Amino acid sequence: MIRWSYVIPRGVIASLLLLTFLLGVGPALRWSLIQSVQTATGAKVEIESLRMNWLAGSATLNQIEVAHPNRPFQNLVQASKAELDFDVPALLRKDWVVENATLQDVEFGKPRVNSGQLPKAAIRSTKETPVRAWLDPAKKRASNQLKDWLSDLGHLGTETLTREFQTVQVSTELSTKWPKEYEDLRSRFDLVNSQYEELKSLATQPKGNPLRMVEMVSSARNNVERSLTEIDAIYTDLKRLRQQIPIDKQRLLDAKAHDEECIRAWSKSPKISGEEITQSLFGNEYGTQIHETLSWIQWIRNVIPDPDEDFRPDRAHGIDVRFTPQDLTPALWIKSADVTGTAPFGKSQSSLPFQGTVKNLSTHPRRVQSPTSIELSTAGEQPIFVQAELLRTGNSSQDRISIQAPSLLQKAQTFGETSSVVMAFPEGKASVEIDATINDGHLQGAIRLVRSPFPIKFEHVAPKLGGSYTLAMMGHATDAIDQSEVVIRLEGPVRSPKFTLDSTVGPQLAAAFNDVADQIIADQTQRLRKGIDDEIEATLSQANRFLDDVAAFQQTIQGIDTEISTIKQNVAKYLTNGLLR
Amino acid sequence: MIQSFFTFLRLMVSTFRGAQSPQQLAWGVTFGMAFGLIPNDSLLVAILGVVILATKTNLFVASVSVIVFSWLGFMGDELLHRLGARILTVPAWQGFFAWASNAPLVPWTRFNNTVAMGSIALSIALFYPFYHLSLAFFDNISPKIHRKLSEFRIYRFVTRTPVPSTSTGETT
Repeated sequence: MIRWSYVIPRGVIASLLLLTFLLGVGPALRWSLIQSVQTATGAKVEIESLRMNWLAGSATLNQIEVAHPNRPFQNLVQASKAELDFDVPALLRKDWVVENATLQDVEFGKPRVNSGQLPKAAIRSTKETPVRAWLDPAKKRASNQLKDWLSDLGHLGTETLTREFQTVQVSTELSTKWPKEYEDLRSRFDLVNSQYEELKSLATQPKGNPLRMVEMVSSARNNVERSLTEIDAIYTDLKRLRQQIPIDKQRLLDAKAHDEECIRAWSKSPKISGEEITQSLFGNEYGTQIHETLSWIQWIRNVIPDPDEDFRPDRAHGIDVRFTPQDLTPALWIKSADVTGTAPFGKSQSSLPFQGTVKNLSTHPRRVQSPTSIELSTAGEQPIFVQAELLRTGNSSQDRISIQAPSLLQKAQTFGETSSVVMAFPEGKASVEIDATINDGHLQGAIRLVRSPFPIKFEHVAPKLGGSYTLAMMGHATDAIDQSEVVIRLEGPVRSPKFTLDSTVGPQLAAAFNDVADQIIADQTQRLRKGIDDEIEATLSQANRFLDDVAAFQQTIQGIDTEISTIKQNVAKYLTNGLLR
Repeated sequence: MIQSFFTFLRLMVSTFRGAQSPQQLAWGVTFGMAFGLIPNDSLLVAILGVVILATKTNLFVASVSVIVFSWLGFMGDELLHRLGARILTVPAWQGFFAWASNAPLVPWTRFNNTVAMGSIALSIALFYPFYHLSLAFFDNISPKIHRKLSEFRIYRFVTRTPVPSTSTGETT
């Protein structure tokens, strides 16, 4: 049957075809891989080239870009080069098992020039619920409490308060009124007294022309009448004045009572709780990073497939029958992959170089029966170690993620304003540990941040709050705080867990701040009360002196009154007898 | 593309001229049948391709057979699936299939796929009957058809067949 004249040329053709196959399998495999990953991610996948080395059983992929399913102009992940060493015996059994892989220059979230969105028909469901904002409105308000409290502390100045004091107003009014009225009476009295002197000189004058005398006496009589009327008026006013002084004294005491009430109302010092200080100091500072961490946890969980759900290749017609447990191998199983690249870090999203290993990454974790483990670390001044174990072998998924950053840089923070108190937390390094377990989408974990030492610097205290004295007092009150430990507990659905923030430094600072505020209040209250007492004492002593003056004045007037009455009688007698005396 | 067309045309002419033996034509039909029925991502298809190229199999007949049976295979997908499923679930053969699943290269035949197994089984079952039926066809019926077609000028032109000579003995 076999005729070699046919076999040889056709064998050559077959060899050429085989060679073509071997050369062409790269593009075919590249296309197949692109289709598989696109089906898994729901976004465009680009591989610049794929070179297959059949003898070594390895493949080299260049410039791999996986677009973000929900952000068309951003890459989910990209790598400059990937080398895959296949398990050749497994490959002969049609098992795509990668013993070792190397991914170089892995980057996340880089912008794309063209859209990475697939035609609608190919897009799989990619619901992306954003991780809940770190601080809810109530907590956001709480995060401003320290600022508000420092502002309230600034209101403890007494200028406004003293302007409202009635003691000073009443005291000033009385101090002006009493001397004025007294002086008024004195001047009226002086007028009467001068008239009295005139009458006296008239009485002692030698007798002259009778007609002239009659005229003079008549005039004197009118003066005497007027003087006596004036003296009666002065008497009445003096009596009123003496009655007014006790009333004024009572007004003064009432004003003092009012002012005391004002002081009592004012002297309620602003209080701040440890929780409010914790929120203020650490809420905003760590909120973004925690939000970022949760987003990454979410991302890792999305990339690592659910049991046998994702990465399911398009099957040809018919059903693939599995005969042995060994036969149940995943469509693709990367046993170990060394990864190097950069990841966005912090608020500035700066690129942080990392390296690490991913083990047991597979399309069908149940068939692998081992958890996918990830170990990543960053070098440099702020090293970060990430360990994750994602167990998807059972009916439920169990993930454990641990992140350690032993010396994470913390930026300096300043609180307060120059009209009150300015406090600062200098730049420093903190140790951060994150431990989280996620069972079927339910997150439970804690983030622990320790900073030791934890220096607190009071830069300024307004003079109205005691200036350098209060500054020293605040410094002394916070001397004992040498370490800050913040624990953020997370619990709930992984997309919107509940947070509770506790710190050791919050309650300590709250106690110190509240003590200082109480001390400032006590000092100010004491000073105000002393001021009021001094004012009242001075006014009352003035009132007493005034009463004495009024009494002496009354006696003086009484003397003159008697003499004027005598003169009045003499004048009347002269007019009756024709003689003055 | 154009070259492939002319190659195909040349093969066709060569076939019609009867340059090849009925066996070569019968192998072409038989291998083409197997090639067309079995899903093309099976290793068996590649092996069959090499065999077709490496033997004196008539490529024109094989090509036509591939086209026809590919279409038939596609239409009978459900039937092949049922057949394959029945074979793959025979209890006595589970051990063999388990071994084959872990044997080198065998999984590349996709024997564990119901449609692939159905088509492989059908190809094996039809292999011998097809060969013999085809051989009988090309042995007995093909020359008659050739003679009939030779009456047409276009056929003669394409196959470069001389005008059939009229026998005088028939009139005497």
